[in-house]
Parts: sequence; structure tokens; C-alpha cells
Amino acid sequence: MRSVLVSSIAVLSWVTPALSQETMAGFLQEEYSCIMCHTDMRTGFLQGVHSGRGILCTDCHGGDPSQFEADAAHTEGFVGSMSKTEAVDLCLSCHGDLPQMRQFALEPVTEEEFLFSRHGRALLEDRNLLAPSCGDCHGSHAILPRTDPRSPVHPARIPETCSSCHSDPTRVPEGLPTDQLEQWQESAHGVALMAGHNERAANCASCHGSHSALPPGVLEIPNVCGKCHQLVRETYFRGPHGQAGPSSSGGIPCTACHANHETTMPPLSEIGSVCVSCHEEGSSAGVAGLELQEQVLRAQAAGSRARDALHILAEAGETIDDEEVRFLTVETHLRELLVQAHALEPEALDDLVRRISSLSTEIGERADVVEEHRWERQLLAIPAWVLLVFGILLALRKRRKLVAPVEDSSVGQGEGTES
Amino acid sequence: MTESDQNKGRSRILKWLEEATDARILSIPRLFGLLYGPIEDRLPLGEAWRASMRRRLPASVGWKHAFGGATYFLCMILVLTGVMLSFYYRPSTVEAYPSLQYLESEITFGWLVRHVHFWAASLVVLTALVHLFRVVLTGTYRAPRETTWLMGIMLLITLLAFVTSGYLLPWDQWAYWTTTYGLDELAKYPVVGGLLSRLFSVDEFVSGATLSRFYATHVILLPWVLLLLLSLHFQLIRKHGVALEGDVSGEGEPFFPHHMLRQLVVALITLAVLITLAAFFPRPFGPPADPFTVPGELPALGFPVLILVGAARLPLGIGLYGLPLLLIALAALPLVARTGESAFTRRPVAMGLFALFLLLLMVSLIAGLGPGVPPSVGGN
Repeated sequence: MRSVLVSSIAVLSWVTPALSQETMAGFLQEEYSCIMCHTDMRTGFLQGVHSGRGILCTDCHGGDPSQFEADAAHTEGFVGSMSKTEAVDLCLSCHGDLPQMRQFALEPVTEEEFLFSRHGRALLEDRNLLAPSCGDCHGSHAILPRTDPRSPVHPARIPETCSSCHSDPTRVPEGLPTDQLEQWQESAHGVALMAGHNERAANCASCHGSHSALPPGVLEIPNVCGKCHQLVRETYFRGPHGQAGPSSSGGIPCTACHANHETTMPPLSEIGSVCVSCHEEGSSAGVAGLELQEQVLRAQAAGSRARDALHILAEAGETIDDEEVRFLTVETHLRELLVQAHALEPEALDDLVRRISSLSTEIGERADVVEEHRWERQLLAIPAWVLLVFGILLALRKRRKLVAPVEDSSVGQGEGTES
Repeated sequence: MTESDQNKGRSRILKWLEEATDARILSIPRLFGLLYGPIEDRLPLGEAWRASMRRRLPASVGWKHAFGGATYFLCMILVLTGVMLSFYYRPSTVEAYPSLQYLESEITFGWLVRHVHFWAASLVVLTALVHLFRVVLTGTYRAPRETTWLMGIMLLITLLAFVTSGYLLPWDQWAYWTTTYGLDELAKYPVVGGLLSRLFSVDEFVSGATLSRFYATHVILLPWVLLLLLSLHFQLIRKHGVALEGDVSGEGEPFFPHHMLRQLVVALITLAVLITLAAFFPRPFGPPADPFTVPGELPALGFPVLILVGAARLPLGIGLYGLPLLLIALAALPLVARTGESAFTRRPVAMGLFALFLLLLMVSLIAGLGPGVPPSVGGN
């Protein structure tokens, strides 16, 4: 009797958490029998965004959930696993509907939008089943909001999700590169997102879009980059590359100097050589590139001189409130300089470079004073050692006088060898 | 003749004083080690003074006996510069760092006081160790000088406590995080470790309360301990005199002025070295202490902190347990070797222990010189 009681308590205590979880998610065992058999989908679905919003298995799959027998349950318009195109229609039936989406602050996704993407065209028009459907990116049962780090469409996981197809040559159209992920990981964006955990850094969808995913056109690129790099965009359009527009051979977009996936800032000492990769060496543009490089390098050198001087002042225990403000201004100007450099006009930078240099000199001058003080302090060692030598000579002379007449010579010699 | 006339002129009051007062009043200078040898309490003052100052030391006393004096001299320098620093230093998290900046850049020779204090703290441990080495080598820790020896070991520990409590006071990143590391390591000792660590850190992390407690320990508690131990150390030396060494026996030179001149030379050299070190290798200011930023690198500044941090870094607790155990073993030396040979070749246990001690110090020093690894935040 007792053993039965104990074992039933043990069984109950093991079962109860699972039951309570289901009840909390809005299920009643008697009314809802799908998960009794489909246990493999239960956990994922319960964690997903739909289960908490009253959307149940039957809303997508039909059937009669009050029946416990499989045959009886799989009636009344039951749909089992569905095709990719059927899935798109099913999802859009709710997600394309503005009144339904408004309450969740979600933008509705329309079929037109999906059809604009190469994914949509390949799937819905060309019936290419290698093309992704909704579930390929979002998951099918465990559908999580994109703010959830477990979601495949979370900013930090999008690159991995996209590359699950795009790094596989058998799944992308012929001629499309498959090394975008590696390139992106090396880029400033990739480093910022993956190492710096900056979720606002650009992932695939930031430039290509999500449901309407498509590579941006050449003339669109400055605007695409400009979504984040707003000041650079403005300056770029003031300069010759931005002004060239569609008239020349398609325009000179950001990617001409910064690459598309492996987006990095070229080393400042190589600005000139980036220019001559298109322009001829010695041409006016080539010369301007070298001048630009020189301006930027001069400003950068002044900036690092200011940093060194600040370090000297701090280590020497000087109060550096004023200098810190000056140094902050130097850093701000340096950033501004790199933005302004996109206008590609070396003369336009003169003023900024001059301001950086003068601030750096001001900090440096104080550091020079401290260095000079340090040298003066070291001079103190001279009187210290002079005093020492005199003191020792006097003391030893006195000792010799004291020792000589009183003690016999053997003690004196003993002292001598010991010292 | 003129000399005796002068003496007659100045000594009327002195003579009265000498005759009216007996040697008991000399207990104060004796406390500070300024007199040499036992004196009879009931001698007239002048006679007692002369008897004490002129007392002849054993013939074996020479330059190697000057390191104890150098340690004492450095202690006095530390007291003097410490008092001067306390005129400007403010022991609070907000004011500590700026008050030292002010001392360094605004006060005339403020920098000299600060850096001499820093370097004297390093040198005092070094000279104390050399003094210890001399005592072990000559075997003068044995009866009847066991207590003197024990006081000496306790003085060494007190000096290390001074160094560790003073290290936090500049309140920069290096001070802050080395202290955090030190308190974490202290907590590793069984039974009392956690308790002691908690007693000094007060808070969950090194905070203003910790700074107050370190400051009070550094400027109030430890100076009294030092005074007590030093006076006992000196009293006992006065009582027992300097030991005769093996083959060299008999009376040598008087304490004053002969040996005092030796001490003067050593003190002058020490002072010149201190000023030079202070002027050429000032202790730099780290960034202000910031409990929310672990510094990229954590240099240990000063010879004693290098040794302590290095000892804590050694694997398997070699340093953590080895250093205190060896100190206890060294303190217990007189119990083991109460009698026997004074030549160091005939004292293998003592020399072996001391060699082990030196080896551990060297290894710790090397380990301490390595790149500083900042402590893991909150990890014990």
C-alpha cells in the first residue's frame, strides 16, 4: 500500500510540471489531443510565439482536436505537412492582413513583397523548390520573435541562417558566390556584430532586405549604406563620385572602395593607392588622393601625439581635466575628418587638420613642461651624491683618526678589508 | 685649557642635572635604540650616558652589522615622509587620488616625499632581509637572543603588512585591483582566510570602507605595533649586547663614535640611493580606481609587492603556504638549534631552511615580474 503511494507521488511529481506548462499555455487536455501523439512538436510549439497568442495546431492544420483516435482526429479539413507554396499562402493569410498584424505592432507581409525578392520569384513563379519558404528562415513550429536570441532571424543569427543555403553551391543559382559569410565575418560589420555584440551592425538583411531580399542596385548602394552612415552619405553626394551619378558607367558606389561583403575601412596610409586602382597615377584625381591621404595621416599623427602627451600628464599625476576635454575634441574632429574625407576634396579638410594640430600642440606643450620638470628633478641626484661623497670622506677620515692612535694596526687592517 | 673653561661655563646646569637625575630617565632613548648596552639604573645621568655610548662592541662587529641600522634609518625615513604625506593625503574614494595629484604637482618637493616614501618601503624590506641573512649566517639567533630573533621576524611581517596596507592608498587602478587580487588570495587560507579578508575588505568588493580600514591600519595600528616590536628588539639587544662570533672575540671599538660613523656612512648612502631612485624612477599614477573596469594589465609596483604577488601566483599554493610556513620555521630556529656550532657550515638545518627561503623569494620575484593578470571579477 505504502509503496503504491510513494510510486504514485513520484510519477505525479514528474508529470505535473509538463501538465501545468500545457495548462498555462491555454490547453486543456480533454479538448486538445494533438500533442498527446505529436510530442516531438509539442515543446517547440509551446516555446514559440503563436502558442501564447491563442493560435493552435488546428488553425494551420485543421482536424478535430477533441478526438483521441488518430483517424477520427485527422478529419474535418485536416492538412498534414504542406508544400512550400501552400505554407506561403497559409502564413500570408494572417501575416498579410493589416488589421490582424496591427495589434502585434508587426508590419504586414504581402505576396507582392515576397514576389519582389528573388526567393519569392523562384518559389512562386518558377516553382523552384530549392527556394526558401517562410519556414526555412523562421522555423515551422518553434517560431520565435526576431528579438529572441534563439530565433534564426535574430540579428546575430541571420548571417548563419542565410548562409545555410548561400554557402552551398548546390542550393544557389549557378554563378552566385558562396563565400559571403566568410567575407562578411572579416568585415567591420561582421566584427562589430559577432565580436562586439553590436546588434545594430549590418547583417545580410540590413542591406538586402528580408522578405523582399535582393541585391541593391549600383545606384541604390549609397542610399542603402546611408541608412546607417548618414553623414558619410551626405558628404559623398557632395563629392565627385556622388555627383557622377548614373551618367558615367553606372556610378561609383561605396563598394567601389569598401567592397560589398568584406566591407572595411582601407588603411589610411593606402588611401592614395585605392584611388589609383581606378584613376591613373599622376592624374588630378590620383594627386588629390595622395593629398587626401597626407591630410588624414597628418591629423591622425597629431591625434596620437595628443594621446601620448595626455598619458605623460596622467602618469605624472597632473590634473588633466582641460586636456581631456581638448583630447575629446581632437577625437571628435578626427571622426569628422574621416567623414568629410568622402567629399574627396583635400582643401576642405584644411580647417579640421589645423584645429586638430593646434589642440594637440596645446596638450603637448603641457606635457613638455612636465618632462622638463622631470629632468629638473633628476638634477637633484647631483647634490645628493656630492653630499654623500663628502659625508663618507669626512666620516672615514674621522674614523681613521679615531682608530689609528688607540687601536693597534691589526684592528685597523681588519676594518679595511671588511669595508 | 680653553676646552675645560668652556666645559665649566656650559655645564653648571648640566652638571646639576647630571647629579640630580639618575640613569632611569634614559629609558626613553633606550626605547628607540639610541643607547648601547645595559646601564646601571642608579648611575648619575652623564656617567650613564657616557658609559652607554662609549661601551665597546665585540671585535667582530664591522660593516656587515650596519644593515640593522640601515633598516632602522629607513623606518625613520618612512615615519617622517609618512607624516608629511598625511598632511595632504585624504583617505576617501573621491579625494584620495586628487589629493595625491595636488601633492605631486602643486606642493614644493611633494613629489620627493611621495617617491622617497615609496622607494624607502621597497628598500626597508630589502635591508631587513639582508640583516636577517647576516643574523642567520653568524648564528646569532641562538640563546640567549631567541626573543630578539622572534621580534625580528615579527618586524619583517609588520613591514610587509605596512607595504600591503599602504599599497591601496593611492587609489588608482593598479592599487585597487592588486588589493582586490590580494584579498581574494587571502581568502584562500583555510579557517581564518575568509574572515581576515572580510575584516579588511568590509564590503563585497574593495570600497571606501576598505580604504578607511587600510588607512587606519597603515597610519594608526601598524605604527604602534612597529614601535612596540622595535623597542623590544632594541631593549633586548641592549641587554644581551652583540654576540661574540666564533674565533673573533674580545673587545673592539666603542659604539660611539666609531660604530656610529659606520652607521652614518650607511645612512648617507641609503639617502642618496633613495633620492636618486625617487627622481629617476617615480611611482607613476595609474588611471583612477574604477571598480567597474578591470585594467588590461596589472603591474606590481615595488620590490615587496612583486614578491607577495609573485608568491600568490605560484602554482599548487607553493608561495601562498610556503612563505608563511618558512617564516614560522625560521622563527622556530632557536628552538631546534639552541646550542651547537656557530660556524654556518655546521648548521645544515638553519642554512638549508634559509636557502629554501631565499629560493622561494627569488622564484616569487620572477613570477611577480611577469605580466600582471587582472583578477576575475567576483571570482574567489
